[in-house]
Amino acid sequence: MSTTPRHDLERIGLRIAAEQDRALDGTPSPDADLLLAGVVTRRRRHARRRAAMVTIGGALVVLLGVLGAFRLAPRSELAQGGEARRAVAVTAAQPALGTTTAEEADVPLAFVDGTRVVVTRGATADLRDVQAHGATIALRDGTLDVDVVHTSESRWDVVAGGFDVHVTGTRFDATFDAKSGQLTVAMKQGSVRVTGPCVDEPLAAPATKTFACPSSLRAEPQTVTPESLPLARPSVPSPPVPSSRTPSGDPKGAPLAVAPPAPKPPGDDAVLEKGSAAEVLALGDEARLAGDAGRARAAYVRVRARFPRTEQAAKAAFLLGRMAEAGGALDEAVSDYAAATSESPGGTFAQDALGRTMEIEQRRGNGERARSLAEQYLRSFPSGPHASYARSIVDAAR
Amino acid sequence: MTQVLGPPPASAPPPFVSDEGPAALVRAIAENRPGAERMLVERFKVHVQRLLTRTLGPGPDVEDLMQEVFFRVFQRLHKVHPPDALPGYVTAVSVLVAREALRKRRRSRWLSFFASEDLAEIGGARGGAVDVPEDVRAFYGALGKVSAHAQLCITLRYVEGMGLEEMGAAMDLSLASVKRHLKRAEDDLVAILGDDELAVAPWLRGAVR
Repeated sequence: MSTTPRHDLERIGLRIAAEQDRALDGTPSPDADLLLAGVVTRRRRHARRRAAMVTIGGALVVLLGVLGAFRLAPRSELAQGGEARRAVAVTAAQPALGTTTAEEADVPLAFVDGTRVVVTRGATADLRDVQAHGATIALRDGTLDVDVVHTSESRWDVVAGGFDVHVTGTRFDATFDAKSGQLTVAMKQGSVRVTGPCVDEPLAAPATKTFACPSSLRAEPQTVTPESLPLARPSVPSPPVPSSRTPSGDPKGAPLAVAPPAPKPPGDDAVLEKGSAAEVLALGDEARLAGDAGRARAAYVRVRARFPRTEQAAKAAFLLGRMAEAGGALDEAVSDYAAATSESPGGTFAQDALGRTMEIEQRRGNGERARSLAEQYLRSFPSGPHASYARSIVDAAR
Repeated sequence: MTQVLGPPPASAPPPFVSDEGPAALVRAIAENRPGAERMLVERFKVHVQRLLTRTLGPGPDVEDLMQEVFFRVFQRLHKVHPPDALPGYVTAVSVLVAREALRKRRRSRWLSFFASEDLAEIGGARGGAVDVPEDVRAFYGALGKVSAHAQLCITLRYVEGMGLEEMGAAMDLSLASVKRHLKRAEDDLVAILGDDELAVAPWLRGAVR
């Protein structure tokens, strides 16, 4: 059987991944507290650098202003002691970070790019993280009148109670009722995108819409007492990192053991039963990336049960197939890949699913089946990543 | 009107103890709930370590780079949209940090006029020898001869096993670009492995012939 360089690279990659997984399993991963300490050090360093740059920048601006004033004022005026134009230092004026409560009147926040946010009377908002081309404003209660100047790089966010209004250049009012957790966005100009625990949609002028998510999905602040904190859980043994690689005939590439399912953290149930398709898929992705195959599998199965015939269900099938293939359960992998391909024939992972199925069948010695799949692949994805391998199968069968 | 300058209000937010999904974690960090940042690090450290190891090969700087990854993740966490996209975002930041590290290594090699693949760097450790399997050293040694971007493409696809769509999201490339870059990287590596003049581990050369 002729192989392509790509196929050879896959075998090499599998071998390398297995070696690395063995090494990683044998040594503990860095302690989270140590990593966090490193993050804190970097934050301090970053803050010192920014402060230094602001100081230097401010000094340069003052210097340029002074030089400019000397250029503008004719020497004769200076010599005569006439009224010289004073240099005016222009410094960037941004509202300060922190909380603004408009108790008796509106409080306008004006930014150097011309963006204007008015905290209307009775409202409370936090200004967070001002960047070069935007900022984040957390609306705690009441109404903001937002007028963002559009540029190609504008990135503003108004966050309120789990919702996030993404703004690139527009005018709107955002009103958040802290008691009910409802956010009302009244568009005046342009468009925004509102995301939240149960929402992800655009909104354009002149629409006004109120968003509300079920309370079970909202992050409710909790009263913490010693009794309300959970008991220390036994540490979940972290299973061998499931390589997404397929075992080869190479003796070193023996199938990785499939780890026994780890106990499910209590919070998973809420997401699995009530979360959106995207949320449940994300839970599965997080578990898979963390090496918790059981938890990942549970999430992907739930996506398929709760949201059948959706793009997310097809993607979950593909990911289940990869996990099965990595664990050596090739029949299960083939079945999952078939589901991914049939449920979303035009999807990107359909290409991979079909290609991997073709390779599995070829490796298992099912030549006729592999050839049929190869022909199907070439019809559907003539320039796909598995195309040259598919061609080699078809050519070998002639 | 009252404008209070400074950090958020005096009443401390409750600690984050939930094991809910990524969206809840992102919200908790945005609300400055104690323990939330640590939870994020704990959840993703294995993944970040593996990804850096896959792309860079074994080396003493992985832990340092992990700190850099988490620093950048926290710095831009509020930009993650939707919040459920957290896992993909962590992956993308890890890939970005890996790419910068690969370029820095190549610049250092060029400046020091060393032509080799710096096996000492690959296998070295803090004051002691790290037992790096020969085939891993050979593979990353060969990868050291292609560009940083090519090494990234090869390792993400063939060692980490990413799909093309995943690679696109991680590298911020369109699907068409991913295919194009991957093809070029494969051709470059195969050409190197096929060049008899270059010192490459025999098993690696033989594997692609």
